[in-house]
Amino acid sequence: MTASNQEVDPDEIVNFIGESVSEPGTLRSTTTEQGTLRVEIPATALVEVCRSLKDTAPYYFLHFSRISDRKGAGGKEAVELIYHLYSFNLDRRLQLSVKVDRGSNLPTLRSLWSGAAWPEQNCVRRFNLKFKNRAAPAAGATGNEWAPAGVVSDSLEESFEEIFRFREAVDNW
Amino acid sequence: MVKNCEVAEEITVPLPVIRRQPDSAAPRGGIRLSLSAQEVKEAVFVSGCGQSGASDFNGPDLAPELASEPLGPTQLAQALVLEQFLDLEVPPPEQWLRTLYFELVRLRRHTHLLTVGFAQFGLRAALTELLFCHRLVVEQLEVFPAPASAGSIFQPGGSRRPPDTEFYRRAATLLESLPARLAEVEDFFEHPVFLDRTRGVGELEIEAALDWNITGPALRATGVDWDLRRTAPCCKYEAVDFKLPVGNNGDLYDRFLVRLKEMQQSLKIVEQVLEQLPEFEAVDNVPEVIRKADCNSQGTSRECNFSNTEFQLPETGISLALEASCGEQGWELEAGEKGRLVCRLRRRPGIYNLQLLLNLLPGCSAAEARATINSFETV
Repeated sequence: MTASNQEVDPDEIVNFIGESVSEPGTLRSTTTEQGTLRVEIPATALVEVCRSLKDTAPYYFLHFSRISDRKGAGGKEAVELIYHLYSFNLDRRLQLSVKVDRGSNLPTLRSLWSGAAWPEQNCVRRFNLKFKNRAAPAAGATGNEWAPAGVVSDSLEESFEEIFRFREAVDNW
Repeated sequence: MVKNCEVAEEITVPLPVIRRQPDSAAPRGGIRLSLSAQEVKEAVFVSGCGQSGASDFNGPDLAPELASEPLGPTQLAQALVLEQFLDLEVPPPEQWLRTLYFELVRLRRHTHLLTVGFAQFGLRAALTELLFCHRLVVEQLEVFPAPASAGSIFQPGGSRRPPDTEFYRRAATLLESLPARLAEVEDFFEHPVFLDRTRGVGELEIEAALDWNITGPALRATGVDWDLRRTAPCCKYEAVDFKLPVGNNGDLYDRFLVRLKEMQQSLKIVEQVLEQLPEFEAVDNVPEVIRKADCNSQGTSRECNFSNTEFQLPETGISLALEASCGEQGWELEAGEKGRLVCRLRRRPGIYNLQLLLNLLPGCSAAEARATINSFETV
């Protein structure tokens, strides 16, 4: 696998993302200072958008780099999460922006990238977010449609807490 | 009389120690393996930050010279981020020197990991060569000014302080000695013990590597030739010619070999930098805005105050991806408290390697698990 330089227009990527979103008219896109396309999407569409971007030619955004964050514009509890993706095929970075409130539910990307466990755990720690699978509700169901993710083992969660402690100790040493 | 031998049901493999100064106490971490009939059932990370964990870490602790880690790479990355934010132009000699510095750090880190690797296989002759290489690289790093000093390449904007004669003397020694030493080490890759202990061990396929967000030499060992020095070059990387070694099987053998080959390529880069290094003008280039920014460094974060300047953080923030020795580092400039801006390390490649290991190790034998842990850079 080699990074290639296939050219794709940013508008094409935005339109493609729009196909996975129930209200494509609400998509907002911008370009960062470094020339990276950033598209704001609703949290409910996160998994579907990432799956499409990952699995569909010519995009193949196979690399999920990290989740960064910043204070959102909608008040003290508002947080904006930025998901950083990269396509080897296009040699292009893409950022997906999702606006949430602290403590809210978010779909997990662990079904697409097992490695998403660590950055999501970071978000749990920082913003008390809850990452879950969004199971398709049964017909007529009125209960909570969020199911526990269940992908991360207990030992991994335990390790994460130790890694946080270790990392803070290294950072402050 | 036959003694009943107790088979350990739990062992802790320490992660390679990185210390700021030789013999100084450092936070320690390791992976505790729960075993059943010498097969790993569960792997959990444990830290030695508290009292109870410290006694678990009795792993290979090589010569003190292997241990000290310069703060330079962190400071240099932060300088690059701030330069992007302030749109500062850095003079070409500084950029060349920074390229050289990054490659020396890569050489140092790769030597460290290979040394730990060869130590566990008992191949002392290879170990001797690697320790010698490590010493030469550290000696070259020592001639760079301290990161915190005003006259250093680690400050945003740089400062045009030309290298002295000692710098060039040590560089000449490095380029004269290391290629042959690394060629000797490469011969050990055909040693029956090495082959037996590394071929087919700890295999990682491309799909699994991408699934776990692995980058750097571990990803290249699976066959993916992706390197940020090529796709998002900083400093003078686009002006130097180097190959990207890749593996075939993603096993221990490939992870070690890729690192050795990268070291050989790093030496080629060092050679090119020295050939092309322009003349320096000894002029202080640190901008006034940086002098007044009251920057504080704490670990891997640097906080600066630009609130009284015309420089405002853009709506989309500032981010930088760098190819560190263990993979993609993600740096961000973010809003901090009281109007200050903070430059933070937001993607640590070693932790993704660690996360992978905790999932990869169950099912391995204890010996394979140890070897696999030492083939990834995790700290």
